[in-house]
Amino acid sequence: MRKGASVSRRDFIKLSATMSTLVSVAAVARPSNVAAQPNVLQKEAGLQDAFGARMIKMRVNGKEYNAMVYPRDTLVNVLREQLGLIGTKRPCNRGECGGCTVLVNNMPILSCTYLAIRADGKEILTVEGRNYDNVLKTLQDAWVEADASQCGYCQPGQLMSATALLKRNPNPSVDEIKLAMSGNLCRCGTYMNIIEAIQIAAKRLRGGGS
Amino acid sequence: MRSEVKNIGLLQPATIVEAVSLLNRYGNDAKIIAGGTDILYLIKNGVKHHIPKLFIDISNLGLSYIRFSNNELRIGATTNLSEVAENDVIKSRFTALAQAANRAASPQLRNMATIAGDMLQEVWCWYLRYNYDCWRNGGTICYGAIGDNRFYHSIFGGRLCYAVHPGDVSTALFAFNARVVVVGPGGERTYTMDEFMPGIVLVDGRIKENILRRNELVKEVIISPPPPNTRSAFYKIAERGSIDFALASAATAAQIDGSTVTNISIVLGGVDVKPRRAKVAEDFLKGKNLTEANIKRASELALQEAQPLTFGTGNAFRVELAKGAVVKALRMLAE
Amino acid sequence: MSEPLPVVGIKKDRYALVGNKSVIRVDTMDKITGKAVYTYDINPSHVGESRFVYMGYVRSPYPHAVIKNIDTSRAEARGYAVVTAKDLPRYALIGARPHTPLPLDRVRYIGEPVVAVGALSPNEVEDAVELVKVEYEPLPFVFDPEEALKPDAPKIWPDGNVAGGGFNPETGPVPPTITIRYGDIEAGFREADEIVETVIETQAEQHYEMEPRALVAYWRAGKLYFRYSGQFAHSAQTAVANYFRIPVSDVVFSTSLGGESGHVLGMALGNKSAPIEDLIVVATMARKTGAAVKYGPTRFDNALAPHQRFPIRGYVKFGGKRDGTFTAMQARLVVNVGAYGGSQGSDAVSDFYHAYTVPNVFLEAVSVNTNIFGFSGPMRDVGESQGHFILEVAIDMLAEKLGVDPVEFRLKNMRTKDKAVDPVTGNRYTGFGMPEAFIGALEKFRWKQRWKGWGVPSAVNGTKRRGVGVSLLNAAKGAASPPITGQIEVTPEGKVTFYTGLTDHGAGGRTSYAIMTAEALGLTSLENVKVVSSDTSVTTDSGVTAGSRSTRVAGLAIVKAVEDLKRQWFPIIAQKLGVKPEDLEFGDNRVYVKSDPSKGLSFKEAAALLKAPIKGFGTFTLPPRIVSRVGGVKFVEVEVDVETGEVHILEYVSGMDIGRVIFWKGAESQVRGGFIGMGMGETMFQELVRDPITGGSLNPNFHDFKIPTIMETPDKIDYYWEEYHDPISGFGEKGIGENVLTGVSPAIANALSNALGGYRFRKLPITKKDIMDAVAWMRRRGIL
Repeated sequence: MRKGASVSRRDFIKLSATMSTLVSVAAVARPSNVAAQPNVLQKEAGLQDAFGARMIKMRVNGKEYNAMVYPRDTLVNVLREQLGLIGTKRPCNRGECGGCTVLVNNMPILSCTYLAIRADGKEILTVEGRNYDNVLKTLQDAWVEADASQCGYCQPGQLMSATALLKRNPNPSVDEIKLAMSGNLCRCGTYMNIIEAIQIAAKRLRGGGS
Repeated sequence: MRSEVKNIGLLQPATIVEAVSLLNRYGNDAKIIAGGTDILYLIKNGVKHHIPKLFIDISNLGLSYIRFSNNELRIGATTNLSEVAENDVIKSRFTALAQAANRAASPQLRNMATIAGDMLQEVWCWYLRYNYDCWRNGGTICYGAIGDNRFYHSIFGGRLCYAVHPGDVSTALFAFNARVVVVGPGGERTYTMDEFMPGIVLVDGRIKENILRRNELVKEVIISPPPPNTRSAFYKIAERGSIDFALASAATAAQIDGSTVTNISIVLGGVDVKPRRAKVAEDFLKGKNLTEANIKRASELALQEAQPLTFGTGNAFRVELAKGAVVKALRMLAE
Repeated sequence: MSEPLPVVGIKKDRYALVGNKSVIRVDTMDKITGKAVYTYDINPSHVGESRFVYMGYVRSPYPHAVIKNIDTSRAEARGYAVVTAKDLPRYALIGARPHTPLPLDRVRYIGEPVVAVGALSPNEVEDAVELVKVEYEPLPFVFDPEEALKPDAPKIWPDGNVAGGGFNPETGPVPPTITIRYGDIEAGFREADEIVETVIETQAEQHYEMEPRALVAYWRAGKLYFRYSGQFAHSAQTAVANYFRIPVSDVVFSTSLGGESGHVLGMALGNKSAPIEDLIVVATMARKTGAAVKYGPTRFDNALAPHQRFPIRGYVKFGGKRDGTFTAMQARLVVNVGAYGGSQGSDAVSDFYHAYTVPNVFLEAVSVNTNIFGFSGPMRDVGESQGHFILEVAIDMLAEKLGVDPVEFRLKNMRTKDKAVDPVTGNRYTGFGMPEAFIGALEKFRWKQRWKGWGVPSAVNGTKRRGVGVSLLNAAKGAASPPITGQIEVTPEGKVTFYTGLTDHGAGGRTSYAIMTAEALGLTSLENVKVVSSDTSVTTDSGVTAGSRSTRVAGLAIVKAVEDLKRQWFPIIAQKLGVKPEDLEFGDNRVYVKSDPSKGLSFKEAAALLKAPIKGFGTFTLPPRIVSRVGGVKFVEVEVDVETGEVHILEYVSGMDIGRVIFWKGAESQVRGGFIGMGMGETMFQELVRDPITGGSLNPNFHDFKIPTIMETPDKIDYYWEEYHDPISGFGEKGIGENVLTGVSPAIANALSNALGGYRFRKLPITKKDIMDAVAWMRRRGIL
């Protein structure tokens, strides 16, 4: 905090006067009146369906699931709360940390920023898919061996990014590994062990090493 | 502050015409959703004017494509940044664009975010995103101009809103003199990047830096055939090696004959309300070789009009970083 | 020198599992396959409920304001539950500055929770929050501690802003100002050839652990149950019971679901410790609604959570002689403890005079309340990171002024094991592996080949300049403080369970405990060994899982519990074998006769003699006048691109006075992870950003509060561990959890300084802006 970053009483009163009309509930955002108004469009002809829940079908870890989802439901919430698959975590819910990464049609995406409706008809892979996906399984085994997990909370996201990498690039260089994993934060800082784990798994999948 | 997305409706039109018609009908109440990476963030943060009652989903309108024919590159509006980054033609012929797409955000976000989204994303200004009553939020002040403007505000001065445009891909598109095709109720129109992103304007009663109206959508981006001896490069400086927006970036595309620059574009990103052409530096380099001395001089000229903010925290250090980005990008050209 | 301390635990030259490089972490697979249930994952069925009431907070948008009115009528009209200060017992005041869990009439930090609301879905909770209207009268606020000390500063408390001292459970009330003085400081400065006088400071930060501090609470049959993402189950149990004035046995705490599978915790960095305000509010809502309540903080909530790392500004005056003798150490630490206080500067101060054997010392620390955040608390360490940054940058400045190599200066003046005594109290260290840890790391890092001189980069390659830096480490860690308890159960099938009130933060405690349990019982694998931890319904209080004490404390409890097991079990085995119980020992998966090792039973056979499971109880009390400190050193080489401000860490070598390594893989992972995950973060990226005008929080998110990504990973991390048998331990262990972090920031800062012409970085974080300031400075001096 910079010195002099506080505001003296006199200055504050002066500032307050000028800014009282401008500064609303500043730092702790509160949309001023959005909650108070019901969503009027909902009643319009032809739009009821736009707001209602609809059935989606997805294959998660090889198993078919049906779920009723609203437009506002994100994939991470559906996975965790409706399907009970708590392996996928939601550390930030803003698409900033990578902790909610899952594979949708083999592509790593942030499930907290992915509308569940989009998952209709898609193949989803999460860390619960150990017995369904051999790349994931090999990585999970390597993760244990290389001690790539400490508290573990970010690791499902890490594993999904790693799985996508090895499916796409069976022999990645260290730089390629780092780039592929660069959207997954780990506060325990296990990155070096993650790199080692991926290398072990990659080697095994290519048929070398036991 | 919200964590969950509000009760919003979703319409999934089957054609562009239908999408535009819906946008036209619901105007203020509807917003396009493609990748969703920006809009969902704004909605979760409760940023007032960004919360629609309806999403118009345009992710399935056949606007994800990369076409290269007759040396002209056309990229559909909803093409993901990861596809742009990994496309062989773009990597070899429009290198700066691939590099920019590969350096934006994070790998997962690149799989979701779109090329049009890079242009149309809301600025990343922490005052706006935490719902301060600034110009973009319907107020009459820019908090950045007087507050903490180290990272997200212009070093080239400004008016009204000082927040920088954060798009890496947009910066590269400027360097390639790209054009933007927009579809509205009246049909299609094509704009240059400067016309599409002129700087701070008032559109449909909102302060923005692009001219897209609420009943329009972007259809595609076109880059005309570059001359055969074109080389390009993009360099980004950010706090961390991933995820972060540019503190300063530079995209450059040049025709180099032997070792002489016959034509060059240099665009600064992350430092102004829109990607900024460094015309004086470009004019200086025309007809010259890319020697260290010339590269250095060009970087000085590129920033000579800089007017970093001095109120609040100030952001002069980004002037130096921007010079560094220009130097690095030009050196990559020279390699 | 006094006699060596008696060895309490099991001392051997080699162990089967302790220090074994092939032992893997016991709980990884469940966590990475989605089986482990973190507290944040708990759904109603996990706790036998059909639904939850989800809780959220209405938070103050002002850093300082009077609460004029709270109107919850619209929220209540819609059927949402509401808890305000009115619902809480007024008589129970808690914390450093007495306060109620929800404020009565005034808010003192941005985001302070004012009203709790409850709804049947997380989405609705946010609607409920919006329906509550709180009227505030904003007051002037102050973030800077020295501004707060001025006479016309906004008064955060009626008696002003010098922080209430708080209470240290071990030493009693802590005075608001700490003073340490010995020798003759004036004489020390007179003796000095050079004096350095400067200001060095650190920043406010938050933990940003991946799992937010989730809580589930419900009242059932007169008892209050908590499932929480926390590291202090037993002390929270006591504190909450005391607050509600109910018997401690009527409150049950477990970290996550606890029980027989142990617990799961998505990292705890000291913030999931003492604060019980949320616990009280959740329990009150649970009582009010008659339902189970879940509070799953959003990242925004978590970022504004009560405890934050407190900034310290140090006014330092050091003096020394040209031969490298450190003659005078003076410092005044101004500690910004936030609105309500909490942790203070005592640990930082003690590091100063423990790290170096200076004859003349005058240290002060004053703690000041400001509105910058709620409470000052630990962030992995408790003031030691801050203290070490101030100390070790100042030491470099003194060594530079004296023209002495920074390593030579430290070797000459640092405390070593022959002087391992607290100079103020005379208490002796249990053990101290210095200077060996320092020298071992020094050689591994090849300092002598790299260091080219003050302000002279270790190498230059075009626009890239390399520099090397060092920081000493000396911190009070691994205390064998009371209570120390634990139980080991053995079943007739040969299954072993260690019960401990301690937690595993995520760093690997459970594996360490399992290793030590197995080792003490002579087992060579962890297959039949389980750890049940941090669940007050089945574990006993073994003190806080903090201060890097848990490995040592668990080790002591384990060896004592095994002694108790022997007392119960060996007579039975002895009878079977026809020997005396004293003749028996565990080893190699057997119970064997010491005088005739070929004679004995396998562990399974010995267990089969039991008619029912037996439990060994272990406790230990530390003898008086003993302290536990860990020494070490951190060496870093950095590379800076002067055109772009980009910093890359080439190499980091950590030297640590480690005692005995228990869980080898875990220790290595912590050395790496502590540096990358937190050390680099606090040095180069992290800070709480507050708007200078409105005082708002501008970066309560993972994007703008920047923790390192994998791209920041250094090229090489290595370590030198000085191993020896620390006598007050189970197996010689000390404690490393915090020590992998303390000292990282000055080592990096000093290396950057070396790379950049000697430009001194005296403030954290050192971002690209600061690098470019250094480059401009170098240009002005013609260095570039």
